[in-house]
Amino acid sequence: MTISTLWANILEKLAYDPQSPMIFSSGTFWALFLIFMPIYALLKRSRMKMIVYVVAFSLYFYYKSSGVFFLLIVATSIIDYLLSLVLARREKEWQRKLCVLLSVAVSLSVLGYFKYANLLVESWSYLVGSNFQPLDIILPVGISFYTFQSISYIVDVYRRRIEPTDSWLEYIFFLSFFPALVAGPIVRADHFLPQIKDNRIPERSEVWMGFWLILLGVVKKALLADYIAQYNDIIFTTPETYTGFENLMAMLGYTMQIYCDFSGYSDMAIGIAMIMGYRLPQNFNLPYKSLNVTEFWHRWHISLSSWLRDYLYIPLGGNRRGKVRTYFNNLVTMLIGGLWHGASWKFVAWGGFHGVALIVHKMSLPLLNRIPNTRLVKLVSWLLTVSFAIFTMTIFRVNVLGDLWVMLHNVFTNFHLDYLPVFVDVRLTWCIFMLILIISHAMPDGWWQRLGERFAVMPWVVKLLIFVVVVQLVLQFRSEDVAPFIYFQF
Amino acid sequence: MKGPYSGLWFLLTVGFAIFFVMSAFGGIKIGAVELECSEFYAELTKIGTVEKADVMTATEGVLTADVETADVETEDVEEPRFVVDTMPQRILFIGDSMLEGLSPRLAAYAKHNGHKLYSIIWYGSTTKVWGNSDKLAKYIATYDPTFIFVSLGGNEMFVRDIKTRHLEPLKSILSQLGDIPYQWIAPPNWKPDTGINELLAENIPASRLFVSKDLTLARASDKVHPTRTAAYGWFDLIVAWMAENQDYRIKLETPQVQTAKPDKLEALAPPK
Repeated sequence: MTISTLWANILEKLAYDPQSPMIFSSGTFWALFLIFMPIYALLKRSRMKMIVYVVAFSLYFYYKSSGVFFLLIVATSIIDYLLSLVLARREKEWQRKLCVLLSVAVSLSVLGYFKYANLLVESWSYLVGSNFQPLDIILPVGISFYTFQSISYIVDVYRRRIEPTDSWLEYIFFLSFFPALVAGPIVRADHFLPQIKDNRIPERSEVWMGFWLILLGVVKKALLADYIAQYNDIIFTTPETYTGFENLMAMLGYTMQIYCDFSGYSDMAIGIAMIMGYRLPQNFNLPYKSLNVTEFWHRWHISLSSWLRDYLYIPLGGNRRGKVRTYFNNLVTMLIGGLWHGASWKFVAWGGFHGVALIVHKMSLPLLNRIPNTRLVKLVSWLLTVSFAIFTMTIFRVNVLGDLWVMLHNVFTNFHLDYLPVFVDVRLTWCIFMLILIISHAMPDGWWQRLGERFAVMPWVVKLLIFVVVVQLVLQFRSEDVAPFIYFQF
Repeated sequence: MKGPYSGLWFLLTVGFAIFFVMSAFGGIKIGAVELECSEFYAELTKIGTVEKADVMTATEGVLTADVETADVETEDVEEPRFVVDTMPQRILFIGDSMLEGLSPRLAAYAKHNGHKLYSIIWYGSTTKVWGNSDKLAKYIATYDPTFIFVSLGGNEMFVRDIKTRHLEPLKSILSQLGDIPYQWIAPPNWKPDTGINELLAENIPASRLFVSKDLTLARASDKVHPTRTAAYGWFDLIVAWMAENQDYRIKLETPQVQTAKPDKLEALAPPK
C-alpha cells in the first residue's frame, strides 16, 4: 500500500456515492464525527464561527447523501429567508399572506416535483389508458423533512410566534442541521431557533446522555431492525408460498422492524444533537403500548403528528366547526400524512385507515368512557390497537396492495400453529430479538431514561466496553444470515 | 481538548482504533466464536483499478481445477454472438442449495461492479422442477433481469435416463430464459453422474456452460456441498472462465470484500 493509494481511497470515501449515502450507523460518519467534534468544541464559544462550521459540515453531510441536491436546500433557504424578511416588514394582511403563500408554494412545488411527479403521471396514464414511462427523477434525501421545517418557519413568522432569524446563516443552520436533516425528527422553528441564539455549552452528563441515545439507536437500527428485516424480506417477497403462521410472524416482525428502524435513527439524531448542545423533540415513545389509536399517534412519529396537527388539522378548522367537519379534517390530515410518507397509493390507504380509525375512536368516546377501566378492558384495548398497528404496518410494507389480501387470507385460512416449535428452533435469534423488543415495551415509563442516567455516571472504561460490545454485536449479526427457510432444517 | 467533550472524544478514538486494528488483522477468534471485522482497513488499503490488473486472483492455490469449456459434444447447439456489456446489470441468480455458497460471492461481485442481484434458492430443486413450473418466468417478470445465472443439476446427478426424462424440462427452462443472456453453472460432481452434465452440454452453448465436474473442491460435512471458502473460490473460477469464454460478458471485476448480501434473497421450500 502506498500513500497515494491510501489518499485515493480516503478521497473516494469522502466523495458522493449514490450507493452509500451517509447514515449515522456508518463507519464513515463516525470517522468524520471524530474530526468534527474537537473543532466544534473549539469553535463553540464563538457563536458565528460555530454556525458557519456546522452549516458547512451539514451541507457536506447532505452532499454525501444526495450529491448536488445540497444546492436545493441552499436555494430553499435563501427564498424562505428573503420572504420571511419581507413578511415581517409588511403590515397589510394580504401582503403577509402572499409571502406565506409564495414560500409554501415554492417548497411544496419542489417536493411535489421530486416526490410525486411520477405518481401523478402514472395515475394519469392509468386513467387515460396510456403507457406509463416513469420520469428520470432522483428523490433528494430528507426533502420531506426539511420542506415541513421550512413551512413551519414561514408560518410561525406569519403568526408572529417567532421573529425572522437575524441572518441567513442562522436560518440555514436550522434548516440543514445535520442530525435531523435526512430523517427527522421534524424540528420546529419556535423550538430550535432560540437554542441557536443561546448557544449553550452542554453539561458533561448531557454529552454522555446523548451518547447513550446513540448507542440505543445503533442497537435498534443496526442490530435489531436490520436482523429482523432479513426474515421479513423473505416472506414479503412471495407471501403466497408461506403458511399463515409464517406470514403473521413477518407482519409482527415488520411492525417491530419499522419501529426500531425509524425510532433508532431518531434516537441517534437526538443523541448527536444533544452532544452538540441542542435538544430535538422526542419522536417515539413506546408506541405499541398504546391502548387506542389516538394515543398511538401521541407516541408514534410525534414530531410529524404534532406538525400535522398544528399546520394542517388546526388551520383546516380542527374540532371547532362541529363534529362532521372535525371528522373530515381528521381524515384529510391523515390522508396527507400518509402521502407524505411516500409516493404510492398504498401510503394514502395507510393514512386513510388511520384517519377512519381516529374518527371511529372519537365517535365511540362517549360509549367507551362509560366502560370501567379494568385490566381486562385495557388488555382488549391494547390487543385491538396493536392488531390495527400490525395491519396498517403491513400495508406500509407489501410490495403491492394485493399481497395484503394474500397475507391475510393465509393467516385466516392456512395458519398451521404446529409450525411454532420448529419456527422457534430454527429462528431462535429472531425470536429472542422480538422478545427483547416486546419486553422493552413492557418496561415502566421513564425506565429507559433512568438507565441512560445511570450510564452517564458509569466509569469511562465501562462505557468504552459497552460501546465496543455494541459495535461488535452489530458487526457480528450483520454477516449472520437468518436461516433462509424453515423446511431446510428438516 | 477540554470541556465536556474530552471523555467522549477519547472513547470514540480508542474505540475506532480498536476496530481499525481488528479490521487490519481480521479473523480474530475468542473460543469458538470468530469475531467479524469492519471493512475500515480493507477499504482504505484497497488497490485501485489500474494497480489491480497486476494482482493475481485470490483463488489461486485454493482449488485445483482443470477448467475447460464443455468437454462433450456440442455441435448441435448454436453459439451466440459475442457481446461485451459494461453497463450495470440486474442479475437474477436461480438454482438449488449450491447458491448458499455461490450467491454471497456473486453478491460481492455485483456490489463491487454496480449490479443488482436477486437470488432465488429453491432447495432440492432440479431442472425438472424448474422446467415444470412457471416460477422462472414469474421471477423474470418481477425482476426484469438483464443477465441470469443458473446453478442446477446437483440434485439430479444420479437420475436414470436423465437425458430422456429431463430433456423437456431443460428445454422449458431455456425457453423461459428466452433472449436474456445467461450463465449456467453445472454441478460440482462428488461422484460420477448418470448424464446430467451430458444433457446440459448437449443443450446449452459451450460459451454459456461452466462445467464444474472436474473441480476438486473442499466439501462441507455433508460431503456434497463445497465449503463456503471453496464455493467462493469456485465462483472466482467461473468468473475467470466467463472472461475468456462467455459470449455475453458483463463487468465482473474482483471485489475487495469476500462476500456481500444480494439485494433480494428468496428461499423456496423443497418441492413436494
